[in-house]
Amino acid sequence: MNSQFKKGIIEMCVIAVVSNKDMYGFEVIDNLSKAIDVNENTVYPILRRLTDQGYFETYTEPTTFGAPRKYFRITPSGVKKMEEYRREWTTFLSGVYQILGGNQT
Amino acid sequence: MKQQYLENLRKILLGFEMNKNERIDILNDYASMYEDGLSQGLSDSEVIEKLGTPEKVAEALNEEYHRYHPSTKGNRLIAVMPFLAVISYFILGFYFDKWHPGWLVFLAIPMTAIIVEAFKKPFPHFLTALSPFIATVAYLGIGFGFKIWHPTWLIFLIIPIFGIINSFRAYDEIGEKKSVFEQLTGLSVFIAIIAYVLMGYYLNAWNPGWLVFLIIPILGILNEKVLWKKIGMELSFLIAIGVYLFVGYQFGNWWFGALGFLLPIGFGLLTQEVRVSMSHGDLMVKLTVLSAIAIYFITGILWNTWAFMWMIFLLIPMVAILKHGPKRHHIVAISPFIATIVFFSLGYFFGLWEISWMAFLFIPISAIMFKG
Repeated sequence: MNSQFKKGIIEMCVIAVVSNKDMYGFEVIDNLSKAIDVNENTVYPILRRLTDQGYFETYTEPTTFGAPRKYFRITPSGVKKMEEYRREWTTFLSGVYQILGGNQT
Repeated sequence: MKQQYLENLRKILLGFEMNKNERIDILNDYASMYEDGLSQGLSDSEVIEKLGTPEKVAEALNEEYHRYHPSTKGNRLIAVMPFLAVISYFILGFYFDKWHPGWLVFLAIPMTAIIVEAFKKPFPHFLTALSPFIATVAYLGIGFGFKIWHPTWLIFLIIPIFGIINSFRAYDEIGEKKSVFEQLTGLSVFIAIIAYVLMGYYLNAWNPGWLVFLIIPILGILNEKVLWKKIGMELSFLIAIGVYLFVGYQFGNWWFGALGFLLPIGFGLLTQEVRVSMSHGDLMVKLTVLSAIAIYFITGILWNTWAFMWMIFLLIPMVAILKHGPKRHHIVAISPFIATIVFFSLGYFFGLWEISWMAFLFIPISAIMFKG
């Protein structure tokens, strides 16, 4: 799979998992790697960039075992971006299924 | 393992176009993610597999940040410097008959490269990188100008001093901030050498000048967290120093005076600050420490060898490196100590200060030849 294409999908997945629940970095990596074949080291840079772009905001929570944890929370513009991604992805997939002749659900 | 991971990542991030706060933020994030991994019961290697090796992380970050690219202007200056140096050398030689010390202009070649690098990006090791040249120029300048080779050579100690100061900055960035006393303890070794040699050379106070080395444990003890132990150890040292000086000067018997040091040793043993263990790995290093101390004092008191026998102490880090350091780095790691011994011996015993400094060239040469 084209790496740029894959990166786009991972970015969408990162926004999707954080939109469900506030998560800390390792949790995002863990969640994604359980569900899809992802190069884990690419996740943190994406998280960081999405935060810089204003799609996520961060806050820290103390932990019992070490330094405070940084949590990522989706922002209103992140929610908008997620909707945009979902729309584009659905349109794209329906096009692909049409070409392949399969059922689009 | 975690610290090594963060340190490697920090080194790679230094090559990226980002400010210090950003770098610290990324390092903190990775420190926190590493902790999260460990807290979930993963081993170090599993955590690293999950997060990616520092090299892989850097590869991924590279798409978000840019690595520094050499500026063409700076590169041109670096490229043209050897020609400028040769021209200057010939002008100084042919027109002013200053072949010597005119050859010093060749030092401008590596110095220019370091200075240009420093302007291209925030170069945290700038002073460390420049210090060998500053030291060499100052050493040769004062040596040739005023014939004061010894103890001007002490200026070479700015190289490890700057190195240590830089390493403290590195500890800060990976969240392992060292206290002021820890920093002073690290630097005290070199401060003590400088003070000891100056006192010995100018005041002929080799003994009891060596007491200045006690600044190392005295500062080290200030890091002790238990107050009564800290006060007890400091007091026992001060009393021992007092006894040594009193008995030495009053009765002319330094040997009896030295018995005073049984007090801090005894106190250390009682509070378990000093432990006697014979674990196989450290046995060689411990024997070297004991032998070095014994040889230093016995030869010093019997034959007045204080001025040069201090070199025996360089065996301690050398043996430690050979015993515990990675084998492929042995020669590179011990090269500064060998260089110092050759340099000082040639200068002190044969008066060859003018050429003995070249022994220090063994350090970069060994780094080029033997670094894996």
